[in-house]
Amino acid sequence: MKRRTFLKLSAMAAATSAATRMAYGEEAALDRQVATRAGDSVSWEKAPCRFCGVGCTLQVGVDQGRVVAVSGDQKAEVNKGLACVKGYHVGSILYGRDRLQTPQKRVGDEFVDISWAEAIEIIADRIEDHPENFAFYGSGQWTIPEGYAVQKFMRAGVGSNHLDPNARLCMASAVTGFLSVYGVDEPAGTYTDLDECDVLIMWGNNPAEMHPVLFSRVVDRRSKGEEITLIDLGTRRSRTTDHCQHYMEFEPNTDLAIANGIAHLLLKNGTYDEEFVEEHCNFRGNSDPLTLHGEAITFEEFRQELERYTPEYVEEISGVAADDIRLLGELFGDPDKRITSLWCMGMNQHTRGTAINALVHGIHLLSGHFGRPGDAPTSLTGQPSACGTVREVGTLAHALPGGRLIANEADRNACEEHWNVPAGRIHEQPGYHTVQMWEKFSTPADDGGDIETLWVQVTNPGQSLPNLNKLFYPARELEEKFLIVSDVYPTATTKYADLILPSAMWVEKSGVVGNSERRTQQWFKMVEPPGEAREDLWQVLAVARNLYDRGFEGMRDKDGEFLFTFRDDDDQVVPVWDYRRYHDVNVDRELYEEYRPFTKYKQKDVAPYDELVKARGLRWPVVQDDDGNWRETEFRFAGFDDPYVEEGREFQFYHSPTDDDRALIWFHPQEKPPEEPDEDYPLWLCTGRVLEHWHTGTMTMRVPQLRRAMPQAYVEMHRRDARELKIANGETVRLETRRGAIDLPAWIGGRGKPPRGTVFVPFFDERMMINDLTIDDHDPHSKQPDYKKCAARIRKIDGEQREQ
Amino acid sequence: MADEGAVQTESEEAGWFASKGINIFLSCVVAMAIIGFFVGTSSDHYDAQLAGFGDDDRPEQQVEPARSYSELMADPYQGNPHWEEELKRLSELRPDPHDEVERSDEMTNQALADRIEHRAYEGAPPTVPHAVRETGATECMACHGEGLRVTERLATVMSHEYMTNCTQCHVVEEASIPTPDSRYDELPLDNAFVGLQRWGEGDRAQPGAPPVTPHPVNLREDCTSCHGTMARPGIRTTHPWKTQCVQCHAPGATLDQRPMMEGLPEVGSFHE
Repeated sequence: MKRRTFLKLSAMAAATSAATRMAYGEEAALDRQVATRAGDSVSWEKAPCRFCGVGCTLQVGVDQGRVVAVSGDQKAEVNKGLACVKGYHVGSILYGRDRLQTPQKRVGDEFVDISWAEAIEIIADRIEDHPENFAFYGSGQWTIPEGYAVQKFMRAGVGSNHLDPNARLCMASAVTGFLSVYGVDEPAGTYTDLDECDVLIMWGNNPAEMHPVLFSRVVDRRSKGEEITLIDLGTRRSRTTDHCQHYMEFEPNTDLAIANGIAHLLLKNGTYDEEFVEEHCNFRGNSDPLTLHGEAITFEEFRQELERYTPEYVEEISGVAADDIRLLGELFGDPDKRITSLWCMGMNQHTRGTAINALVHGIHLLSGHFGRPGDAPTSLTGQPSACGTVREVGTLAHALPGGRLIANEADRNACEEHWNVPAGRIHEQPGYHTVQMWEKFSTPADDGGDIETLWVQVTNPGQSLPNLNKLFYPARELEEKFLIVSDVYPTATTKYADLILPSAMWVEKSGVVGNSERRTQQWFKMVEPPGEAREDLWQVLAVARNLYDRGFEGMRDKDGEFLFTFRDDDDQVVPVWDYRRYHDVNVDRELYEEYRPFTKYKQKDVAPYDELVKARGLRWPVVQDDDGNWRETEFRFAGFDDPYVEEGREFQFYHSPTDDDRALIWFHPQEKPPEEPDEDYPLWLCTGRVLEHWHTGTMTMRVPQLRRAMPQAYVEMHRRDARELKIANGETVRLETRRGAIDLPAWIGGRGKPPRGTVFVPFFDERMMINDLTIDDHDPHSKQPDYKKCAARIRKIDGEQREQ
Repeated sequence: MADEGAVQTESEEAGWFASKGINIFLSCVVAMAIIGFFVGTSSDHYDAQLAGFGDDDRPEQQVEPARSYSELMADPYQGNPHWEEELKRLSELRPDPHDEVERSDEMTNQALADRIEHRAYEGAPPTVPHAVRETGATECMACHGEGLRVTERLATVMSHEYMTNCTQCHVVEEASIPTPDSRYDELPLDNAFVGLQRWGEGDRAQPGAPPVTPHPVNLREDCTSCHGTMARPGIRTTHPWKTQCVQCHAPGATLDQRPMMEGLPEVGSFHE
């Protein structure tokens, strides 16, 4: 190094650390000196973002064993070099100083540090004693290998089907929607539709904040001179509204009427796609009792059911002007327009979630706006692997890998065979879905509460479950209940845990995830987890092995071999349950490749692990061409792209619920919600998210840039509602429902603008637990609760004791 | 004498008012009645729509009601004092490309230190040190389109292609949520993330040769954002009239992700 360069670098270092000291304090400055090195010592590797379901690929910069920078990956088709503010700051989530670093056990009101061996022993004890009373509550943030391991651990090992994920709370209705229409889950279209559509309709969706990279992918088309019509169908003005030509505000819960109104116009004006419907669709209505598959109706019956949904009638119900309904009807009636619908929680967290999902698919099918680039009904997800780990691996109470069902004997047998376990190992009775599982956990054993030990991984139900006073807190009063929580930070759930396991996160471990457009992505571990934190996957394998060593029958296959046996290149068994040996074999690759054959059953063929290593994700079905190349699929069921559509056919719904290659167009009537505003509780309460924070905020609230931009929760209300209640902007008010009350500041004219009679509260803030107030009523098919609508009231508190 | 005169004039004026005052008052009454009559004939509905304070039972439509003066007073977004005068001087403050540019290591260090105050790491989208109204790009572009300097405050030119969802990446440093009894501090905010803080210097073939670009250029395609005449002293170019930057400054960063073919032999290996 030249003397001048040395002097320059020293001066730079000194200046930087001085500035750092000013900005972050003395201690941080010491840490930061390491980073005053030049950028060329940083090594870069790809990893998908840790947060939402969009699935951006990032380049992660690592220097001296620490993540020091993040960049959008320019080779990634999803985000094309861009990220959102959460993604750019994702590196900081590893370094909150209160990371959990040792296993802890509750002793009285205290937590005491214990060893991993003791922790694993405790869990194995609980399972061995009462495997039938053991439940696993997982996550759409599990990686595919993690979810698959737990799937096998529970069904084949423990012999309990009480496995359900937090994704039940976020996209279960999308799943039942797809199943009831196409007979198979997950979207036909991909993000490519966003580049091709002429009209984008967002149904109760705020992608400007929740899926920002996808949203800018659309709005930035305008900067390039393209014309695109954006329509926001919503119950509250949001940042998305600012970019839209049309905002159609509807009364909460009336979206079914709007969808029916569009279908009505398509039939009345004769602008539906006769040929498409004739060749590719059947009609369905509800059966009595309700089932996911309903009963066949004729086209004429369908027409009659829609008869009354005139634009005027829809206006009366929904508040959307009849002319706006006509506008939607005309757009869908125009075969030359390419129309994409987007939705997420607004349609899914809905007691009629399955129905509204089916109706939106229905108007796309009826109008023929399906299967051409830009014509797609597309459901978005909120977690990085809600699709990959929950829907594809089937970590749901009723599901098995690859779209198989527990209720179906042939499906159970197929899994037993693949896992080499005796026939009949998998119970035929589906387990408890999320709401049931927590209800049983919160009920004394004597009163039928048969869930006694619950292991939670990668999620925070103590904040995200609805109606916490019913579903979460009561269990903590019950002696016999035991809550195990694997997490990375202290959360509203660990607070009530009996055993806390510190976990590795994001690039502290390897992983594979699946995003909203059927894209499977892979990454490798880049840095070490802090302290004794370890992979969630290892935790499961260690418990499984402990049970095996005790002679627990379930952990053996037919040949007496351990369920999770991995061999190295010399065919020697690698004892991965011993953490010192865990990284001697790529457990991710082993489990993923074991799982992969499962995906062929419903033509969801995921790509081989080694292909994923090279790619920025691949969209299934991924099939091998004659030349040996692996080819992904952008447009499912469409003959020009989907390799599983028979030669020469334009469309083929090859998993049709009616077994005739046809999709189903449903009629569902508009119905009343379980709770509506009334005299005592005159307001609608809607809950949701904000740009800066991700779900319960356990990670993002520890990132300075994000926390400063959005430091706490609030209740958004309309100016006039506030004036009538004499509430000033920023004043702390009490928000009450029939289930609970919290105090929080009122924000008038804030980021979102709810209409009169509606208030909105984000759920990221653990200090203002809005889910003390929400209802646990749920969709009859998907069992997904409605976080978007319940009746509330607000009042001034004038010096009363604050409600925590 | 002067005082006396003044008193005289005042009393004269008082007399004039006394005699004409009634007439003036009556003319005002007549004028107001006429205005009132015509205003009264125009549509009630129209007025209510405009003002947003019509009949409260009217179904809420998409028009945001106008805000009262007390609400405007409470608005956290206010202009800087005397900003109108400042704006007039702004064009004069825009430096001439031919102005001599002073540079020293100290100035460079200062510039880089200033940068990291608003970034988690080099390459992170800078946070916004002022309040933002949430209305898309138009407002941001007013200052960040061409760059602006207002006294000591600098609004840099947008460094990347025109994108309209600015707040997707750039968040405010101080939230605008009104919080009288903030519980902000009840949760610890202690993060030990240490971001990459500088890319170091670009290599030079020999003293005086143009340095290669030491940092990635993704989303920093417009060099003038950081190196132009409106940029911070210390990292400002000495030759802003030359606009083909890459003509001399070759890309050199490890993270440029230019498409390369894999498996090519080493250059020069044909002779081996």
